[in-house]
Amino acid sequence: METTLPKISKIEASGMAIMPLISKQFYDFGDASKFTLKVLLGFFTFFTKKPIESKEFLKQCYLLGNKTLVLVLVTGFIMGVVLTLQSRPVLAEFGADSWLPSMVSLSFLREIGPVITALICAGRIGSGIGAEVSSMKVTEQIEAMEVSATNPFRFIVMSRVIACTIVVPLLVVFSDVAGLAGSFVGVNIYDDMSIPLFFIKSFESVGFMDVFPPIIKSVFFGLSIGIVGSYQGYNAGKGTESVGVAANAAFVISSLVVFFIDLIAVQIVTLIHLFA
Amino acid sequence: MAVADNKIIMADEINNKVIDVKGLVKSFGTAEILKGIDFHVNKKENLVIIGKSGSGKSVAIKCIVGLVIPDAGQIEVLGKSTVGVSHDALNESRKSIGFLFQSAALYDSMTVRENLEFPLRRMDKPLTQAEINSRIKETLENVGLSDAIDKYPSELSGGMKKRAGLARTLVMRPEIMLYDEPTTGLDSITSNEISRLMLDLKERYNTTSIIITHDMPCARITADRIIVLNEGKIIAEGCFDDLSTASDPFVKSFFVI
Repeated sequence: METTLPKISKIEASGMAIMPLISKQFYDFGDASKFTLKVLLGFFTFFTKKPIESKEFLKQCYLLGNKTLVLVLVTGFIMGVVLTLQSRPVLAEFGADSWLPSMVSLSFLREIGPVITALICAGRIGSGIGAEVSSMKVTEQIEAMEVSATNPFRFIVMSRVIACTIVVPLLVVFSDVAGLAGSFVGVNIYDDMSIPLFFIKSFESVGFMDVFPPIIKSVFFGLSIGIVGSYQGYNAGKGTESVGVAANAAFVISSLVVFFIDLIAVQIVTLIHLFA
Repeated sequence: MAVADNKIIMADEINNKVIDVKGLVKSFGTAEILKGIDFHVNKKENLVIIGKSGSGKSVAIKCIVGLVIPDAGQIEVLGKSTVGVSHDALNESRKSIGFLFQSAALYDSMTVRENLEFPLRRMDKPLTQAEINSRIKETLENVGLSDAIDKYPSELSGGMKKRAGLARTLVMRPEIMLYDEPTTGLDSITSNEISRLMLDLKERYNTTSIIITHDMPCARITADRIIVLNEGKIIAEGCFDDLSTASDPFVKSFFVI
């Protein structure tokens, strides 16, 4: 008895090869969505349901803020100087150099401050959370918590995500201040402007809608960095190489998510401006 | 009379069963790890499970504690099922179980004291700080680790880590102890010390234990009864001396030095 296998076309063969990859992507997306939903629901019970992990939450706030603050301040200051020096010749060409502080402050408050800070946090905090949580997974620390009837999700994930959501907007404020300080230095390299005059010039065009939406936006930046970092760590593989993979994925994905959130936020703010 | 005696023994065994596993099946993908195993552990008994790597020993005890969900079978811990129950019910059962992981699984951002404090602070009936301190001190003394109370796991040796892991589980005063390869990665002297410590702690805390190992000196010191697992099935059961003279070549291979 000779058995013959049914012939399949190249298109069918490539379809059969691609389908598992596509279904894996759908599975991962579903899994990440479930994780995100669990985190969002966790916000409502974190401070109400016992045991309240306040000690771990405060520790995370301190660690995340402390290890990123200097980086954010230095980067913000340098960006302030560079932006001022780059913009000056263009504005001078149109005789509008007196608008320089105002332009820099608007750019910083609306966009540069939140996005640069979020990217630094994605690299520093997001990958840090990814590496730390995945290393806890590899060394069975998460399972040890589960066995001792402790909820590791609340202790590890929720404390870090909430800390991130609070710390990132605060870091954005620090970055904005450092950026304006840098801009003041940049302006004074070629001109001579006093601090009070620089302050008045910087904020004469700044309104509520230039400050409030970016802060709200940075809350979502923090939330997404925390969720992506924790998700990558919590779902890491068993081997030690998963630590590096989780840290890398946490940085890359959270940076992308930051840009997506920024894109959506710009659209929303534009719509508000249109209807206001 | 003999029949009556047997009945008494059987009734005693049923009443004494602390862990009862029936028809446990677990697969990962296409690999069937456990193929319907049955075993039980009596009160204050040390049951040692031996077998080759990948024979499903660790999976079996992870099923007992609910870390791995079995595909089929029943597990009862102190008369309560741990399969197909709610998370709260599972956590209730877990409160009477201590689990020593192969790597000790100490929380590396915490000192030894904080590692022991962690489960104590999450107890249903909160303890006072004085009670917590005295319980930590006593448990660390019992495992011979009083000097390392303020050290971080990274500052401990392999044997000390196992002792600290043991202390973290014992501090909750569990009725049942599950040891996942407690002597793996230790030199023979430290391995003997840990084995004797496990035996000593069993007497001190009246615990019932399952010990997963392929370290035969450890099995000899700790076992009241041994189960041999091969390719997801139990192929032999008995005390150390009985199994050491078994005719089955696979069982025999564990006892050959």
